[in-house]
Amino acid sequence: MSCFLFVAPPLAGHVYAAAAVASALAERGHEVAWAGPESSLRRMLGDGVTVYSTGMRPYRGQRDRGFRAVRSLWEGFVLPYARFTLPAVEKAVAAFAPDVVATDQHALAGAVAAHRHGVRWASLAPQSMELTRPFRALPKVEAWIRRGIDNAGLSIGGADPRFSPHLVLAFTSPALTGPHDFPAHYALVGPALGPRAAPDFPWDALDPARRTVLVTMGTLAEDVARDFYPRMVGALRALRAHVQAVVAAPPGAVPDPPPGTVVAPQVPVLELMPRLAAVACHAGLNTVCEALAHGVPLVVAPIKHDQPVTAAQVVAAGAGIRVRFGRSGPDELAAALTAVLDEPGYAAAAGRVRKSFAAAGGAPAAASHLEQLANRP
Amino acid sequence: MDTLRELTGLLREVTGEDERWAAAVTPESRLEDDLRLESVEVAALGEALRARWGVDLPAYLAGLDLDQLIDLTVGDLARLVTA
Repeated sequence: MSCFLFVAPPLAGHVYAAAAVASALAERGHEVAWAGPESSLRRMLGDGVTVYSTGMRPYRGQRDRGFRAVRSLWEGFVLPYARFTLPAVEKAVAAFAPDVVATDQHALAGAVAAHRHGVRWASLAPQSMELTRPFRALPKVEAWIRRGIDNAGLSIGGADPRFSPHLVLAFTSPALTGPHDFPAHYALVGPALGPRAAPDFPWDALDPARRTVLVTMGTLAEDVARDFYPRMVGALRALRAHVQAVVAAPPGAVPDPPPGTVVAPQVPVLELMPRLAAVACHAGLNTVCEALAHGVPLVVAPIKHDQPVTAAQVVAAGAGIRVRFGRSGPDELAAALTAVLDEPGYAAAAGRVRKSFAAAGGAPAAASHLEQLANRP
Repeated sequence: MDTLRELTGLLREVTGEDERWAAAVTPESRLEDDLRLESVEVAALGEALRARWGVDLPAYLAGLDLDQLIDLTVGDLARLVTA
């Protein structure tokens, strides 16, 4: 039996993938604990897990997009969050004495604490930004991020705390990333989809005579999506004879949807997937992979961070159409939805990605990689 | 046609915006904060600049640091294509 400490920022897309891997390890008899903001983690993980609480820093700049969002992500969240949580993560490493620390690429404190305590560590990449080097064409941006890490005292022996030299676990597959020369210690295991609490859902409200489309713009997008939903509602109204939408949003944010539209702040995404004909989303890697793991084609409207990268990967894989979150009107959105619903190539491409995900092994494969890391002499 | 008007025309093409939107474009307009260009639109603009003036927008962007990318203006593009 080995001990694994998971370190993740309290964001759904980051925590759920790590949680699926943690559950797989726990089922095999290993001891698992978490280091992070306790109340946020417990909302997602429940009361049954051990959490070493680190406290939380608010992320300012959530409304930013584009390069401004790159700056605010690092200056406003990743770096101050790492510095603030580092003492508590170090205490967790000392108290729990894990064999392996599995740390999110945006929870740098996990890497630094593991390094300082001589514990092996793995990087978890639940999003696209730090995996395929999307800024390779912008060397000064890459250098700015590295300098920020160095200046914050978070580099480890001159190395980059986003990339473990032992193991990098990425929750995607080459069918989505495209061909990259990943180093041998990178394992692309596909999405890690584990059991999680499913919110109530009015299943009887789904109309079997129409095709069901899920619209979900991510947990961080509520503010900025206010201007998107009215345009999406216009598209759904145009398609209402054949399409019924489930919209994951606060009801007030979606004005005057066509009759039969289900609007709820939380929906059971994984339970819905087998019934869906398409997903329209912000191209968060988590949502994209959940859809593609079920062979569901996508309309992607990336907002910021790694989402444009993931959206481009979806398009390159042939599994969806990219639209413009800030600008595409009802006609453009309706045309994109109609295409992915009616042209069989999109679902066929999504099916190819599904197969590659299944072959990649998911959470059990990730758990095996971590076990092997723990057992290395 | 002056460079600004021509650039504004290309910006209208890649965004699909209307004349009223285009009328508000000035040399000081920032691509990101003011015109809200998305990355696919910047890519399309790059193609358009290459076709019209033979300039390499990705190579130009590769020389900019993060603050310069955030604050990139239509005037910067005008200087690029007339350089």
